[in-house]
Amino acid sequence: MLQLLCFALLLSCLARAEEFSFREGDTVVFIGNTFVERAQQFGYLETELALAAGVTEVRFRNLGWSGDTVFGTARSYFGPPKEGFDRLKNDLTAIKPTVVMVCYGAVAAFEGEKKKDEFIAGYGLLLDMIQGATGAREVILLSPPPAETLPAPMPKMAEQNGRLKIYRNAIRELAAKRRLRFADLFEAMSGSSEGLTENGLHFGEKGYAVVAPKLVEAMGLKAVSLKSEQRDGLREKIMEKNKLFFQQWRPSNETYLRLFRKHEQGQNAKELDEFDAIIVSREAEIMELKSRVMEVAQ
Amino acid sequence: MKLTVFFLITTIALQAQNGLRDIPDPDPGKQEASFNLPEGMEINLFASDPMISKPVQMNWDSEGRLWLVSSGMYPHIVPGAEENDQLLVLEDTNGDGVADKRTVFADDLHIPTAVLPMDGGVYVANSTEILFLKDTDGDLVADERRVVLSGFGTEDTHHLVHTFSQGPDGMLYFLQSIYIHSHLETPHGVRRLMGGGVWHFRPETQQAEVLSKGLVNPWGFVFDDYGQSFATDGAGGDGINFIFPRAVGVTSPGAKRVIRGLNPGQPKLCGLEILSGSHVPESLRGVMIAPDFRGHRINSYELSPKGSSYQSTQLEGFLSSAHRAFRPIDVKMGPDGAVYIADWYNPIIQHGEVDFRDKRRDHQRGRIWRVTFKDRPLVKKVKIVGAETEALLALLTSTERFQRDFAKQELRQRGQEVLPALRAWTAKQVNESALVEAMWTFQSLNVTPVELVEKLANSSDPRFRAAALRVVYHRHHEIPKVDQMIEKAVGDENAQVRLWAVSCLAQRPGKTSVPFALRVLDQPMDETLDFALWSIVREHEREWVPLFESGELTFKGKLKHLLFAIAALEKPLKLDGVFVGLEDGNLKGEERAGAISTIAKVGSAQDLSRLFSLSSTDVAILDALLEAKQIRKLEPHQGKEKILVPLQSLREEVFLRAAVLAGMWKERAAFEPLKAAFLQDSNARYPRRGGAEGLRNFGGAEVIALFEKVASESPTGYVRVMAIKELAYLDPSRAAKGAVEILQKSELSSDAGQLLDVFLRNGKSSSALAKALEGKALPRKIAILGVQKAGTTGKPPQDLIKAFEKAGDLKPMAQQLGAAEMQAMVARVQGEGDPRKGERVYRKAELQCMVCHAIGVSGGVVGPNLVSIGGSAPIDYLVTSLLNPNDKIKEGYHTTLVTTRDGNSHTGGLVSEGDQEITLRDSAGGFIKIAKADVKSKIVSPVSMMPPGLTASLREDEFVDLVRFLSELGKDGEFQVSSRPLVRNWKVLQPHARTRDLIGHMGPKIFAERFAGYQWAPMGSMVSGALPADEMPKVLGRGKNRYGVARFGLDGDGEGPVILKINETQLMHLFDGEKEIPLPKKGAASIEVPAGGDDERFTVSVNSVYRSAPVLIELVEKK
Repeated sequence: MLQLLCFALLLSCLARAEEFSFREGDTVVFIGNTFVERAQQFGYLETELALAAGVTEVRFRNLGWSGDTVFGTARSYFGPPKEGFDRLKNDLTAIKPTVVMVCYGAVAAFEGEKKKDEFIAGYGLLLDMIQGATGAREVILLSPPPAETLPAPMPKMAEQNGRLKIYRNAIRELAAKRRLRFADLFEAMSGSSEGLTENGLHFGEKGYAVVAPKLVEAMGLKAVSLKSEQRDGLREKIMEKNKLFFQQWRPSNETYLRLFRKHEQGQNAKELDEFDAIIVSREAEIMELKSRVMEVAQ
Repeated sequence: MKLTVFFLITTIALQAQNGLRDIPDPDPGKQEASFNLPEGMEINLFASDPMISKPVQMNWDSEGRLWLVSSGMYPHIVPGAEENDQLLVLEDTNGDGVADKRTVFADDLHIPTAVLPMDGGVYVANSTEILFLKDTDGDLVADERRVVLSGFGTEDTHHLVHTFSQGPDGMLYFLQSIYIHSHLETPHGVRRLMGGGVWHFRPETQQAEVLSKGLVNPWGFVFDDYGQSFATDGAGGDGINFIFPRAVGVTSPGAKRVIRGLNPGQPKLCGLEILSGSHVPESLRGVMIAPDFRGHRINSYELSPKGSSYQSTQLEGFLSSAHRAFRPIDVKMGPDGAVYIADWYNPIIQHGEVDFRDKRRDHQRGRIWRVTFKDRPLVKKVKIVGAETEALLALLTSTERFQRDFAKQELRQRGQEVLPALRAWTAKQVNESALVEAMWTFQSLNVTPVELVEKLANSSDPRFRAAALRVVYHRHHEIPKVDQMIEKAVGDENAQVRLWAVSCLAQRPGKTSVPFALRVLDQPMDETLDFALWSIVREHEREWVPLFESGELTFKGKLKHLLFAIAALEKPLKLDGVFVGLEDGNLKGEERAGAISTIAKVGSAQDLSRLFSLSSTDVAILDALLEAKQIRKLEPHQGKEKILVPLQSLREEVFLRAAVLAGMWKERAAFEPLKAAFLQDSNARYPRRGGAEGLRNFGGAEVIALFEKVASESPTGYVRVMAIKELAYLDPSRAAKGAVEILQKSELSSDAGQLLDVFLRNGKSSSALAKALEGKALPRKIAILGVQKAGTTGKPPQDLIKAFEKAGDLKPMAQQLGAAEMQAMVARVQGEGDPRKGERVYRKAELQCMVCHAIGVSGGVVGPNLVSIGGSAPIDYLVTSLLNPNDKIKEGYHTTLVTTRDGNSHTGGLVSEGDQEITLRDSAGGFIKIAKADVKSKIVSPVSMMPPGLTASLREDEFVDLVRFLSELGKDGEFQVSSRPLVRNWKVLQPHARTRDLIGHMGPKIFAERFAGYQWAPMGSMVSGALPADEMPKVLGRGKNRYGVARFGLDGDGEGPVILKINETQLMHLFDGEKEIPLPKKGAASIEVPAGGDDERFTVSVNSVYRSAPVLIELVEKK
């Protein structure tokens, strides 16, 4: 009964009346901090969403960056934080997603309620930028998941969860104000089994396996149940693709390839374009495999 | 024959680094034979390709296995390639000193840069993240993988998070380098680090913190037996760096102040280890060794305490190799007491200069060398894993560092269960070395041994007191009497203990943190301590400033404390206490100067009036008012008319300052006096100059008209030049025509250079000059100077460069040689180049090499130190760098282009960036201060500060010799800067009429006189340490006699007597102060002198006409 109630609560959080569904050819971009960045290594989020999309062809790009904020703080290299924001804008413009899933707030929450207004104002600017750069048909706001207190001497996270709740509420309000969908991962993951995080904040393999179907449900979609070896086969292919994309969009040696030492190695920046064809062919394989496992499942 | 290659127009791009044609033989036997070892040392191959490849870092585990990460992928992944770099474990199972077993622990890594087995698994740096890998089934292959930290930048793959080590406190320490920007989310909050720095991380609590910032590319990090930490820098030249909390080293972004390393002028070093244990000869124990990977050798250094930091002396080299692919990059003491060296084995190092995909890069090879000492028994392996707890505790007092470290690591691994045994063991120890180990073992177990810390904080040995404070630094929350402990330590008789006390206070912001810290001023200060104090004053601003403003904190009777705090903070504060000290004359000398400059930096307009009313003719006060106006746009709110007083002064230094100040203040009453000064006809030039500068600052139509009139009508040449220059500041288009006329007639004087600088300040004025040059011809030399100056501004004005080329009939300079031309050039350098002649070319004044570059300790600091350039840079790289400096710019030497709101631009190396000002170092080594308020933009410029075409005046053979000389620098042989303590920095006497007139009466003693009119210019020795007599300025004597005269001091601050060992005394006179030291008529001599004195203590003169030997003096401290 309690579960049902929670579920009803989650749905009510979705500020848009019609149900969310993927469309053929959708490009989904994830942006956010460590929670988003590390998701690509485990592939669960993408796998579950891809399966929930059914036979619809959808591609995913993970633009998560550890330590990032709505201001793009972690994305700048040698310039001011604004440079990071511009970098995100360039990335989004190049990818042209139709669906953008945004998860910020975990970093800001450490600063407490006093920084909330600044955060929400920055979030507003971010959403304006996303809309302007992509014209995405759906922008979905995710609340950060809760922190967990691990055995001593690890720090107690109750206070941080109190702050996260405040930020969750603020993000929910923002979503409502902007008539955007909101997926409440804080609520969805509260009361989950313990030991899902590596350090009280970040999920590992086990954690993402739990959070992924919850995200699918929080978005109002239906999680697909599959045998784990079938899911893992697909997931591994997705993880391989994610690695390739990471090597392309956030390349090592950027100082030499594109920045102020490009006079030394700029000639090698063209190699980055070679990833396009490789990624396209991997995505075709992923789609094919997905169709196969879904057939088997049915 | 002029060097024709410069003027070839070539379209073939430089295809590859042709200089490196002689790829060395990879046979390990050949490499082994190439080592040059000191007597008694032996070397053997511990492991080699194909067993291992491309080692990056190595660390031992408690079972004596060597873990190493290797990267064949470096420098950059190929699109679509697998991430397949490896983590290998090597074992020497039969104890013969050769690895006989290799296990691949992981093979899916992406340029792994660090490895450290601990906590039952292994930490690995893997580009953007730190991983923890674990083997759960005993096959020594990872089957668990966890991301520990993520968010490390990868802007440059040789700067990635790297160099893991376990501190004596059980924490994981790691480093990152200059281009890396990291953002780590931890359960304690987000931690960010821009640029280089040292981190520490406690796995149990997942707390990651920055210990220190800066350093360019530091890949060596080590703790000594007292828990002090040190680093080496693979792209910095300061040798050993002392790492203390909150230290900020060079190039930390936004750093207002940095602290330098202990051995300025050293080659770049990668890796660091302290020699210890019974196998190592006693004379080497405690010596730090660090690989000079460019010079194919390992250097050694001896440290001794000096104030709060250390004095580091370079010793004779540890070992070297003639093999050009020997690239030692890591050194570690092994379990058997031998020294292990990781050899990256590559003819090509790093990846900036040489294409990522260059075929000559080696991706397969790699070696581990093992150094042992003849006739000295190796250390017997002891059981650590699985040993009884009692046995492990006993090992904490082993003479072998390896055994102490790994016993501690094993105890940590066993966790809280060992605490009772550890407590019991500790209670039995009397020796403080054992107690320190016990303290660290508790700390490793994440326990704070309060009593032990308190006990060691009261040790009679300052090194143990400092070690105790380091524990307080990390665990102050758990020490009940922490405040008393720190307060006591602030007054400690040992400077390093005081440094740690300040560091501890920095961890505990509060009402007393800064007032307590300032107490260190009551005892002798040094640079390190000053830095730490400066840092806490700024960091804890919010703690002490409100108390000071409210009057709760008065600094009563502690004016020194107040002055330090205000000067460090550089923010407006109540200055009454300072003024009282100035007004009652209590402040003298440096303190007075400090007080005045503090008022300039932070005072209000009222304060400036009060300062000016103290004296209007005091140079320090005038300087202070100038700075306040320039940087802070602030001037006295009343009483400015008093500027008329110093404008009457006959003292040049007073008048010049007052003139500029009057102009900047636009003090109307001063206008006529300034005009009169500018127009007056007198022998002294300074009134005119002051008048001109004052009027320029005044500005306005009247001034422009005046300058224009004088520029066209004055009968005196230099006055016209002066007027044109001033006019160019105010109205470049009106000045341009006259400027061209001056340039047409100008010889290469400083006038031409200064005039050009004025026009190069912004695009508008440079275009005005370009326009005026249309259809005009210029002397070739002037045109070249113009191209060079224009080419080194942050935004080179292309129109003006073209105009100079046309006016001087210069053919466009070839910036790149074709492949065939380059090959021919390289062959000539190798075949015909004479490095000795090349050094003479290098030292030619017109080439200006020495103005910007140092070789070791002598020379400028604008460009990179060239001490080991030959060891790393292929010949074609050197040629290209000389022909087109923009093509190759070293990290840390990029120029910064600051554009100010008035449209002017300023170019230079970034020295510091404070709240109020940006300081740049210009190409002449001078400082440019720019008010932050004036800054419109600040960018890293793609333009080198080294002018193109500097070598254009050379003959081809001279150019070839120069390149050959550079290519020899740092290689074994004649052009390696030796560690001998030679006098390398001199001040040489410029010719002065007095010597010719009076030498007949006084003899050479005239040179030793402290005569104020003499001018002394700095001059560096040759690489060998010799100062050639014929390169010294020729000071006139009677008849044909010419003298070279140089002054020098005793470097260092030892207390014992010093022996001056002189190469040749023929036709030489030597003075200590003004007292002559008798020398033999000829031959070598050794003279004993007492310690001390400044850098002009000794004067040496040689007859440079009749003596051919250079001057070479070694300073040997008498033991």
